[in-house]
Amino acid sequence: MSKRILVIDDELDIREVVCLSLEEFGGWQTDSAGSGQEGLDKALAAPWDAILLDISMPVMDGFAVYERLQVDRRTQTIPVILLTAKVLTSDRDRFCTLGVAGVITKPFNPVTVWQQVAQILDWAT
Amino acid sequence: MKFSLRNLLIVPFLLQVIGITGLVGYLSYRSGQRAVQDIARQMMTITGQRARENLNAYLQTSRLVAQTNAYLLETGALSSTDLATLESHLVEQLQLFPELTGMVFANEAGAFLNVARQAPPGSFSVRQRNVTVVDNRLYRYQLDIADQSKTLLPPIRQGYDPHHNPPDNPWYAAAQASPEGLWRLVVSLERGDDQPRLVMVRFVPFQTPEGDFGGVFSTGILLTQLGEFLRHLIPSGGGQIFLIEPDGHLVATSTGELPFDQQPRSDSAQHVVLQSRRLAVGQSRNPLTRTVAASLIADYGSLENVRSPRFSHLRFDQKQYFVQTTPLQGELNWLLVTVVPASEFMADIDANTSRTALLCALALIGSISLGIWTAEYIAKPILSLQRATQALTNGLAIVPPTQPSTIQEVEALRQGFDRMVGQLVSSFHALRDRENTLATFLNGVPVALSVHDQAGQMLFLNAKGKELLVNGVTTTDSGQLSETYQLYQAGSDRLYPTAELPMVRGLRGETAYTDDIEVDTGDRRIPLEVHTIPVFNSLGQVLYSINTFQDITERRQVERFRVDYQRELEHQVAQQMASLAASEATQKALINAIPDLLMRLGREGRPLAIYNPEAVNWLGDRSQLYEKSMYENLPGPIAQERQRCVELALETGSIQRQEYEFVVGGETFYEEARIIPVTQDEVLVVVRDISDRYRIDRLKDEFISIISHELRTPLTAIRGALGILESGVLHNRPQKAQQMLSMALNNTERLIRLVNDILDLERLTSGRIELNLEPCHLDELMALAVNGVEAIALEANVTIQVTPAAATVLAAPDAVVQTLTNLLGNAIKFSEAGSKIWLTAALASNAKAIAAPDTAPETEPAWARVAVKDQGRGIPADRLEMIFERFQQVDVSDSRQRGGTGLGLAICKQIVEQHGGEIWAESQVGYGSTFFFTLPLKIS
Repeated sequence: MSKRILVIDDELDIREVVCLSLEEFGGWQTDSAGSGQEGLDKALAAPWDAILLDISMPVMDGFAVYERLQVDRRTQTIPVILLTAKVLTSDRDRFCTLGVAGVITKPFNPVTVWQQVAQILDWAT
Repeated sequence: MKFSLRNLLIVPFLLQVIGITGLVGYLSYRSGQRAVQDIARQMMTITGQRARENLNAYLQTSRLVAQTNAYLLETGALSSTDLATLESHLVEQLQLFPELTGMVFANEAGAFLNVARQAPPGSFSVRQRNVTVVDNRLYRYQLDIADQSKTLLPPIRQGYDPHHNPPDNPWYAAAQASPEGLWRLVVSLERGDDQPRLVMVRFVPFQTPEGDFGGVFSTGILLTQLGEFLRHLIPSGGGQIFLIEPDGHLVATSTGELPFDQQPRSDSAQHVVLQSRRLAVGQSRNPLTRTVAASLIADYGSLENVRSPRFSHLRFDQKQYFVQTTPLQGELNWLLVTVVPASEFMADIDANTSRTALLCALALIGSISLGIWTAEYIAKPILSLQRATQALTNGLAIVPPTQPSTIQEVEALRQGFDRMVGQLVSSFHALRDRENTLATFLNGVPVALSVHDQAGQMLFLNAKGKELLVNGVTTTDSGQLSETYQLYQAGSDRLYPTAELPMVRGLRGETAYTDDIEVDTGDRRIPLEVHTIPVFNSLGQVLYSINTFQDITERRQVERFRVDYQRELEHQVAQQMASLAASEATQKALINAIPDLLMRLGREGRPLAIYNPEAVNWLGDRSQLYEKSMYENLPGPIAQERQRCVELALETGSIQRQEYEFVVGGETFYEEARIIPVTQDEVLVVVRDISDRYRIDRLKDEFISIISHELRTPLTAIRGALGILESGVLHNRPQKAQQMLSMALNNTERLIRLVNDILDLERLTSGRIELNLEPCHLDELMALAVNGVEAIALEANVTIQVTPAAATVLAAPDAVVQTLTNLLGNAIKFSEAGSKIWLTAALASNAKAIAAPDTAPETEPAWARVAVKDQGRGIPADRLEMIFERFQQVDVSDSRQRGGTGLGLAICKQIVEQHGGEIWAESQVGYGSTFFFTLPLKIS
């Protein structure tokens, strides 16, 4: 059965690339949100198999979105993968304390990114 | 305070007489005034009542005639269809009652008859519509009683007939509704519509003999005629009487003023509109009427509040007037106001007041003369006694004779005085003998001695004293004692301060001693030692000061030798101390020059010496640095580590280092301590605040993190788009492939811009490029910048208005154009389509103040100030400074939507600051922002 992935990123171009990659190469269904709030609304509106979440976003950043997802019982079980351009050691340390399923660093290979997601989430490829 | 006897006798007497006369005069004047008020009040009440009764009687005629005629019509004695008989009946009645102006008959059938008095007596105007006549028109003719002639007059105006159907008129309906009759003011045009007149009309409805409602009968009195009647009611000239309605309209007045507006109106219907023609009493042309009305309104608030007769008085044109306000009772709620000048009542009383004043003045003069004579008679002998006493106290040998008096008491006083004078003279002689004896005795004393009286005057100087004070006993002013006797301050040419002289201090009651006085005898200075004692009388007051003084020349010489010796000794000690202090100061300066805390520390941690404690953010009580061990003053873990380092340094003899962080007042600090062994039991601890280094490291990390993020974002898009294209999945979807290509291209552009801006900024901040400042024309730079952004402005449909200034600035032209382009570019990005941007330059004498063009500036302008103003969404006040920092857009998403890198303003700031100028922004959220920067003018 096809997986359903929600992509939350404030950059339109990145949303397009990620969604296109996952649909074309992974064969999954995707939807995207351009802000933290829109992401939260969409996360509640339908069942998701995973959420790809950007960290640096205006108004409500990825950390805040993740916190809100974890507070709500309906969304706390959805695995979250951070999709971020933050690469400093201090950033990495913070990601580890969050309890996210995994981290994918920008830029990523669009042809294999779906495999990275599947590997992190232990999905059969 | 002292008074002369004469004044004491005269003044109270005068005050009494004037006071009583004044009081009597005032009381008499007061009671006169009150009597006048009472009489005036009574007179005015009577006048008001009489006027009201007369007016009622006058109006009663009108009422009775109307009532009678209505009765005649009801009983059928008069026929309402036979207008000819009715007309002659009305003419007869008008001749009978000269106070009436006219009468009107109108019935349900629409018949109308109006007979009115005309100018020559015996002439009447008649208007008549006989409904039995076929044409049913209103005829108007003149009737002359003398020759019984009737002349038909032309209609007032063709096509205009206000009485076409009387039952349609408002007065007709009002009368029908009032069976008892009513008063009403109407505008009459029976003389033609250029001569409107206000008539006070009594309307009475009447019934037909059969008992149905028949019509209306009315009698009228012209308001001018009513005014004429009022004039007969007023007692004499100067006063006036007028009738006003509670709403303030003037009904009639005795002054002859027309209480309404006679101007013809343009519209025929407006001719008869009553309200617009009425004259408010406040607009009367008679100033006295206006003043009275104003005072009534001021007293009552509104004329409607006047319900009972009232007396008042007021001043107008420097005359007093009495005013009686009487409300008419019954159907008419008007106010009858009677105004009479007070002079009517006052003439006799004023004459009486003058007579009283004259009598008072005569009485006053008589009393004063009598008082002065009596005072002189009593005072004269007493004054002669006073003159004799004065002569005696002045020490005159001859006392002037006293003057005998016929007053018993004064004569006894005089004789007693003469006896006393005799006794005094013999006492003086005895005293002088004793003084001589004392002087001889004092002259024999072997020390110098002087006696001074209370005034400081020297009374006595003995023989020894005269050797030292060569001027001897001299009459002198007490303030010049030092000058007179040549007394100097020891060792100087300054006269000894008189107030400090021992003899003067003695006169203040002190027992004084001094040895710093020198006397100049003409050929040499002699140092003196002076003792002074005061001599008191039985009341404790100082009478004399007695001074003994002696030459201390020899003692002075010995003392001087001793002082010189001591001074030499002190000088040598001071020199030694100074050289010691200089070497200590050098050492201290050296230590102070070190930016670190230095501490000599014993093995157990107790400080032996601390230098530069301000160099670090020391923890603990600074006032007790030496009382506690250093380990007690530091937080636990740091103290333990410090102790370990100290022990290790003492053990190994090598320098130890310790780095640590701690928090003081919520702020985190970083310090580095070096422990240097000095002896076996002592180390030197050098502590340095290295917080700044940490802060810089952190800023660098943050900057790299932001740059990394900013670079990776477009890179991700490029890598993704190209990767997808390369994989070939979009082979069959050329449109999607094209979109991926554009995405890659756009993000490449963005990356290039970012890299360029980062490099620009890095070069500017590191100072690696020095801007080459050269004189350039600001207007040309502005034109260049505008030229550069014209294309994007056109695309965004934004107009740029340029106000250049002809100024030569000292600037790097390319950098200034870049700054202008950045600011204009930002303004365009944030402007709505169709809005406007202003680029303005002006001269300013200092950076943020702009010189007003029409006033000469206090200082020559030194700056050009450029402003870029837009109508965009504005910047919140708390962001106004931050936006000039790197990557500090008001909204982060702006960098994507508006294509900015977040570095433009930071570059502008760097460029402007390298020119020595300032850059800042002002903004109102929702209305737009203005960015300013200044550049130095080239000084010619």
